[in-house]
Amino acid sequence: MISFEMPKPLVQTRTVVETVAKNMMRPVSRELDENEHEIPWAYIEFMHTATKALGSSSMAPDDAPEKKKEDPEKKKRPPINYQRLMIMVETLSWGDAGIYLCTPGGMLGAAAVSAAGTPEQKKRFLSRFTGKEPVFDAMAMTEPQAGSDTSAIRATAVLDEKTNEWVLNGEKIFVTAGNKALVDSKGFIVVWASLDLEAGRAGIRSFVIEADTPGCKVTKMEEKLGIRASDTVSIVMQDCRIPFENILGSPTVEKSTEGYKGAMHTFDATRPIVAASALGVARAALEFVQEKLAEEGVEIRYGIPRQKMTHLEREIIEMETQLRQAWLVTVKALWMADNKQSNALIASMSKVKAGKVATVITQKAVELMGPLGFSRDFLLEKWFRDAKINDIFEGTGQINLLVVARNILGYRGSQLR
Amino acid sequence: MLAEMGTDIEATRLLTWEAAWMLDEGKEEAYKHAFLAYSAAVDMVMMVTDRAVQILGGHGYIREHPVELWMRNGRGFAAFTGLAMI
Repeated sequence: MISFEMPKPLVQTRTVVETVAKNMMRPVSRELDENEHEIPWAYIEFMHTATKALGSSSMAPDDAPEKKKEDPEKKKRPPINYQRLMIMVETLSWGDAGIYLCTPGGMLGAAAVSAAGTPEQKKRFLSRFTGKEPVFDAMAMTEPQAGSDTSAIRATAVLDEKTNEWVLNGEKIFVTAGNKALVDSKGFIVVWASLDLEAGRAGIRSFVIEADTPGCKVTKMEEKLGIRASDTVSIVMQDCRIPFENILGSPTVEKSTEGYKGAMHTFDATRPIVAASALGVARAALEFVQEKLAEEGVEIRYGIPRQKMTHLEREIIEMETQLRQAWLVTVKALWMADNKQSNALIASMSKVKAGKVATVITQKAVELMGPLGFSRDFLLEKWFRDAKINDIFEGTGQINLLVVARNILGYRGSQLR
Repeated sequence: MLAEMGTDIEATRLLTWEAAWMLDEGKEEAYKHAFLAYSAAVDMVMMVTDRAVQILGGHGYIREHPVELWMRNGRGFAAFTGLAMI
């Protein structure tokens, strides 16, 4: 039988993370929103110390500390690492989605290294996260002319055979936490570039550029609608030389697009995690509304026919329904990832659903609360702004819909655009 | 359209399973969740069947094709089961 009971370790995780969200994020939420690009060092130091104490280098699921000795008598526990990550991200984003994105340690860049790197590469690039100082990473994919359509990438990587180095050229925009990865810490970014522009998708690979590499510069910090505590930057690579060993995956271009597809599988894990972040913001907004209604003594009647409900009841029930649906789809996507099942379809579904739900719920919450929603005295308007990003990064809502449709119909990218 | 249909069916199915599981377990909030699942399902069925008719165009509108029947049948859930539940 299916059980929807949340495993005990996850309940514990949520309780712990909720304390962090309540005490370290919410109190500085407004201040960091008003002062864009100010870095939440107190939170960063705390998280760095906490993850180090747990013995892991990042929040990445592959990186959870190994249990010393498994008791053979004991029942085998179901794998929950991705689900744990979901709970953490959801709860941190409930605290503040912008500050959550400043969490030190391996994030998207580490996920790419974990997914496509060799054991040596993993050791070389991921060990930095356990050092004394907090370190960040980032993923650089979007270009001025290539957003979610990654096959349109124009950045190039050419092998200089004399020195055995890759020479990278091109511009990347909208790199989340790029400044923290390259300037504020000795981190790295994972850059997507083409080995052979004529080969299209088949020629695209990802490369690791470490902080302080000559020829790689942060050129612009964006000022944004929401998630202002997190930096979003443009990066220019001009004859940027990196060692041959910094390529993730095969250095040769074959006809097939297997390499590209492999890289795309990174998203099967990261999309539901972004969905979880969206759900955290949405829950924050919905809970705020429910609290205010309870204070005013407004009761929501469940189980009455729709035509007898008040408008407010209809809206609240709709919001609750949508949020729970999106939550369950996201749990399923990550449960499948934990159980090593192929989840491309449901991973994209979770992103579509959660991105939309977060946008709609936060917007409705602002509407329903009127002045309380519009005022900067409360965080509701900020959550409304923060939520919107979830419908944009890690594949826009539109692109994810396309991925879902392709998966349902069994079509390839070229057959359904 | 197809992607939204598929996503909403999946989401509603999970919501329904969860509510059923809560009823089995005798959870306190089962009643509320059963109502949420019901509420989601009556919206979902109209959205999905309506789009099915739309995608098939003229073929979806004629009685030779089952989708117009499904759309009419789908309309019932919001009207009568809802009243029976109270």
